[in-house]
This record gives sequence, structure tokens and C-alpha cells, in this order.
Amino acid sequence: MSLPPTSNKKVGVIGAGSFGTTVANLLAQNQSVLLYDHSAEKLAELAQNRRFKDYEMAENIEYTNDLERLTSECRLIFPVIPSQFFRALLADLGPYLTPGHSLIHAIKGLDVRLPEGETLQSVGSLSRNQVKTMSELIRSETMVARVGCVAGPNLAGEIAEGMPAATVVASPFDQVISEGKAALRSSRFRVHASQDILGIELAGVLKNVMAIASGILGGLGYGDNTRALLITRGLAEMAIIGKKLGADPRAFLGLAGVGDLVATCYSPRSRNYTVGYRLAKGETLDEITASMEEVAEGVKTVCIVKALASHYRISAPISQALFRTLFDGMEIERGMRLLMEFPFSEDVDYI
Amino acid sequence: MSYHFVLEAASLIKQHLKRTGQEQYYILDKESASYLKFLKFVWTTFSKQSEINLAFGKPMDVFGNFVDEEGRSMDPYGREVDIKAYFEVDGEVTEDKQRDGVYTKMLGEKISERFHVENRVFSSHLVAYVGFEMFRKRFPNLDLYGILRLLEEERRLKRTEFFDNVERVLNRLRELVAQDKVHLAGHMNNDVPHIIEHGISNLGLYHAKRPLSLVDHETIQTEDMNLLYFYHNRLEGYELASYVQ
Repeated sequence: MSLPPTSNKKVGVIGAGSFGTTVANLLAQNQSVLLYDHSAEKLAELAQNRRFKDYEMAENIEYTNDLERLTSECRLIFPVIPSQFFRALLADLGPYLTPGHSLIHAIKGLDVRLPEGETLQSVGSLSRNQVKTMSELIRSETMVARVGCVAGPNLAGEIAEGMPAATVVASPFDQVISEGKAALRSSRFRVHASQDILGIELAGVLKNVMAIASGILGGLGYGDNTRALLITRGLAEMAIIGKKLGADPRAFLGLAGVGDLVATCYSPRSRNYTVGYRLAKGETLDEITASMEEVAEGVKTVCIVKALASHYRISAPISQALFRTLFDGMEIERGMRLLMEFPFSEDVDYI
Repeated sequence: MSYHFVLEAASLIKQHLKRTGQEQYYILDKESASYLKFLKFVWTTFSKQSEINLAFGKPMDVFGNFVDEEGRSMDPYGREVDIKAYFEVDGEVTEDKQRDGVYTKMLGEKISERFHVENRVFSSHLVAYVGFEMFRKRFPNLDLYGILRLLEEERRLKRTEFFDNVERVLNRLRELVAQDKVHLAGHMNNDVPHIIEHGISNLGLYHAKRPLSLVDHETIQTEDMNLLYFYHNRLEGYELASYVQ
């Protein structure tokens, strides 16, 4: 397959959810965009109305349900779909991808290889070998070598409304970072760079756990002191787990770490925050997830972190208490008590 | 290449522990004198036979793609890979040392992945793995560095428990072989008592301090925890720890 040059560029986006359409609109400020979704119905509606919910879609976005077209017209592609569907998507996409493609994903989840007969909730422990980040999954399942990710405090609604924001494009390849920056940046959207793709991916993934916990605090009516306690100890927990998985803890201090953590822990616009908030208001997890239009990645991540912490014998008190609250029927108040009594040692012991 | 013995094992594991453990790892005794003794021991006993197994894996190109009999790089979908595409930007082959450096690192990862699958497990790897993991299970509150500093009287294992654990791990390895995830050396087709005897007698054959040895009919001991850890590492990454009790 001969690929079009990037200078003649049309950039691809996979996933027409709220963040996928936001990324498509951001990219459309610099080049034309081809947006793929598995739902032809959704695409037809987008093409006809030129709107996603309350937001307008840019004129230079085309829509396709054809992966072969996407990969033949676009050399640079941004996958933006829930992590649980990514492996299946790559199986369909793989036959059309070549080493000439670059993939920069914006997916905040992990891929897990579970032992036979186990579920995410039942699995007692997971090692690093059983868990892949999305860029690792791209590399293991396709011919694409040039991978990157986008992460940061990027609540879709705020970006869609044109509020100033910033993100990080991470890749081990300078060339991918340059392409990602050139494709995304605008007068209202700053793009920072990092070569630590593992750290940036993990920061984006792990912060969702803390967002659920923060939503619980919000639902219980606790104040900013409590929230600040959660954010700082949450950051420590993220960095300790990230370090164990091979990341440089400094990645957690930037936009994709502290930045995204603060944004999601304070925002009712965050899906993960909403899960925690509604839980504290008395709804069950099943009721909440059944009524949500889009996936809250943090729920799955809580299970993965709890199993990783068990395998590596590291303390992850917030994730562990959250797991028991979400899946073991532990009362929220008891979870709070456990956290308040947990013997944390030094204030900053993860750098 | 698989073997029962690594001449530099003691210094390699020491370097690794110093690098990964930093302040947690202390060298407890200066071994320059004993190192010389050890070298002397090695060279005087080098006439002993030790098995070496050479296995050739599937050929790969410099990106880790498998190569067919005609030397063509193939992707998992049976298409010939256009190697030029790895170096192209906007349809032109470009020079980019940073990119090529990342490709080299990625190749290292691919080689490591393939080694994991092509690895031929020896009896000595099995007994070292089981021995070290039994110490880990027995002292769950100690970290790696605590385990490596166990006192002499704590470095003993009951032979019957050791045999049971070897059997369980061996069964799991045979399952992995059936799934084409690892290979076993020919001598691993023997029965468990023979595999254990073969493993213990060959493990670190030429080291002055034996990683595992039989004290009596009831007890197995290690004289050098670092070496036991070194040889145990050969079976890391196969998710075998849960088969050791």
C-alpha cells in the first residue's frame, strides 16, 4: 500500500464518541480529517447534522465506516475509543496497517491478559507481563512501530467550548512528537512533548481511579481539605504503582499526571468522577454503569491496580479501599475510615 | 544457548543487585581473596563435563519480523514487509539517528521476547527457581534483599516439600511447552526424582559455593543465596510463582 505524504495530509481519527469528536475538531483546525466509527448510523447522523450533542463538527471532517479507506488515505491516525474494544479494533485494523503508519492514541485504559476462568474482579494478582498499555498493544498486534499517545487535562466539553487547555504528546520517536504537535496545536490548545510514553500513558490511566474516589468525596459533601488529601496521596499512589511498572515517576508531576488528576478530581464533567459521586448518593455500580452513555475507564482500572498491587506487594490503599467499596459491598464510610487510619509514612517518598 | 553454569554468575548478579537495589543492597563481605580462590577452583575443575544446548530460533529481520526461506520479511498476515517504510517520511527515506536508536531498542525487546519462547529449560534452572521461590514463600514479609541476607540456618528446605513443588512447576512447564511458550531440554523428559538429582548436581557445577546441595536425606540447602537468585532468574516471567507453596 502506498501512503499519502503527511504534508498532503489528511489525518485519521478512530472513534466518534465525545472525546473522539473533540480530537477530530481540534485536528480539523490544521488539516482535513477522516473520522471512522464502527457505527454507520452514528456517522450518517454526524454527516447530516454536522453536530455532536451540543457542539458543531468542523466542515473539513469527512466520515467513514471503512478501515481500508482510513488507512489508505491517512498515514497519521488517532485512535480514541474505550480500551475494552481496542484489541478487537486492532484485529480488524491490523491487516491494513504498515510500518509507514503512525498511531497516536488517546485511550486511558490497560489491556489485561487474564488467566483462564478469571475475571477482572476475581483475579487475585496480575504481573507486568499480563498488562499492556495501549501503545504496547499497538506494537504487539500490528506492524506499526511509530506509536505515541496524547494525555492531559482535556475534558472534552471544555475543549469543545473553546476554553484554553494543554496536553502532552508522548512518543519515543521525536518525529511522532513533531507530527502530533503540528497536527493538534492551536491558539487555544497547547501541546507539550515527552519521550516517556509509558509514564504518560500510566498517568492518564491511573488518575481515573482517583477521580472515582474524588467523586465519592464530592457526593458525601466533603470539602477541599479532604479533596486535597486525596489528590496528594492519590498522586503518590499513582507514582508508586507507575514506578513498579517501569515508568519514571517524574511523568506523574506534569500535565498528564497532576494536571489531569486535578481536572478530573474536581470536575463533574468527568465520567469517572460521576461514577463516584452517584455511588456516594446511594446508587449501585450496576445502576450507574447501565445508565451511562460512555465507558468510565476507572472502574476497570481499579480492579487492575488492586491485582497489580497484590502481585508486587505494594500498598495502594486508595485503590484497594475503592475496590472493596465497588465490588465487595464495603460501606463507603468504612472505606473512608480505613484510609484515614492507614499508616502513611513520609509525605513525599516516591521521587 | 542453555547451560547449567555461568562462569561470571557471582559478579553478574552482584552488579545487577547493586544497580537495581542501590542503597538496599550492601556487599557484606569483601570477596577478593575468595574470588581468587574461586577462580583457582574453577580452572582446576574445568575438566568436568557440563551440558550446553544450542537452539536456533525462527529467523528475524532487524525489526523482529520473521523472515521466510527466501529471506523476505513477512508480517503476521502473510504480506511481505516493505522495510523501506520504516525509514520513510512523506514517502522519502530520511536519515534520523534518534528514530534508528529507538528501532535498535525495540529490536532488543523483540529479541528478549523471542528468547523467552525459544528458551530451553534445564533441570538446574528448575531446581534453582523452585528453591528460591520457596524461600520467598517462607518469608513473605521480607523483600528481595532480606531474602538474600537470610542466615545460614534459615537457608534450608525440606526435601519432600521441595520435591512436591518441583513436580508442580514441572507440570506447569509441560503445559507451557504444549502451548509453544517455552521448550524443555531432552533430560527433562525423565521422572521427577531424576530431574531433581540431575538439576542439583549440575546447578552451578563449578562454583566454590553451591547454589543448592543435599545436606542429608531430609534437607536441601543453599550456600550462596545470590547465586541461587541468579540461576532462578532464568525462569522469571513464566508466571510460575503461584505453583510454588
